Amino acid sequence: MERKFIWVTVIIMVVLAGATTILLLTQGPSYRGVLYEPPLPAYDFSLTAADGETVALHDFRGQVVLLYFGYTSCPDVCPTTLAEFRQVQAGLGVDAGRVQVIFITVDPERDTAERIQNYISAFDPSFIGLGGDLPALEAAWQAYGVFREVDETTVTAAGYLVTHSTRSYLVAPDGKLFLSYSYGTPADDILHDISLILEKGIGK
Amino acid sequence: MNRIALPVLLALFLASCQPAAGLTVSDAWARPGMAGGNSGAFFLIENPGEADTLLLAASDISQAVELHRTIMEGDVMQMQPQESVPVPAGETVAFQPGGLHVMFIGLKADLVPGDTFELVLTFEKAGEIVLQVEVRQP
Repeated sequence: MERKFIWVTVIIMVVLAGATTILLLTQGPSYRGVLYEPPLPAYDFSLTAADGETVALHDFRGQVVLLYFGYTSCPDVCPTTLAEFRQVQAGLGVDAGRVQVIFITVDPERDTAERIQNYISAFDPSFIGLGGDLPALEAAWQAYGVFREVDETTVTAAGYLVTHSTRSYLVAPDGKLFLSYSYGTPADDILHDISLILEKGIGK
Repeated sequence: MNRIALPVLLALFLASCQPAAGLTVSDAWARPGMAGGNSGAFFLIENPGEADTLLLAASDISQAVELHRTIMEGDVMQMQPQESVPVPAGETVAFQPGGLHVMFIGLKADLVPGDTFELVLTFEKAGEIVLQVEVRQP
């Protein structure tokens, strides 16, 4: 009776261990950002760079794109996020060229493409800042689910402030919207995910 | 009550009115910024004494200086100018990214890491405190 009990226990343990191993092997790598499932083609915006050239998302096929929507008069949240992206870029080392940070304005009335580029070059000269005409920008904001609203009621010497969403987006090398990050995600988490994407050849 | 005891008692009484220690502000830093653009400054206010209120921040590095608070609702960020900032008794109030900050609007010159400038905070009770603010990347 006792021997039978031991055998049953052993069999249960072996089955459990096997099931756990299979589960671990079949599960994909775990990302720290919020995964888009399934990843869908990211909206292929066509906007204006500081030199007047048109820049589209598909120009960066083969690279990981980190996308952020903000404005140059933004006093707090935008510079915090850009400073984190600067840390990500610095932490990439030899893979730095495989990632492109793109900043799209939510304040086209004041942000010319040139002003945007000056602003973000101060964080990292490799970052690209984009402006453009309102319809093209509106299409991009809408496609990425960006909320932005000029705050007309708050009185400030800054003229006006823009209330806006602060999520950043990661586009995989195949142009698919792959991950998103909430404000305040540590640079290390983003670096971890990018390393995983490059290592696994996601979207290649 | 003799002639000596009265002044002694008076002195003791006055001494007991003094706060345990004064309000201090430390670790002041500001973000880099470009001429014509904006920047923000951050610091810690430690208040071991009685309740006080930060009334004003002033500096000549920009056209205007305001007290702001960043408010996050879900993913959406909103800025709220603050007329004043309470500093409760025995508490530390942190001005930090994503929360309270001093906003410099219309910088007169570029702010480059390594630069320092003066920022004057005026408190209702503690009066003026002059800070040396260091420009650095967060």
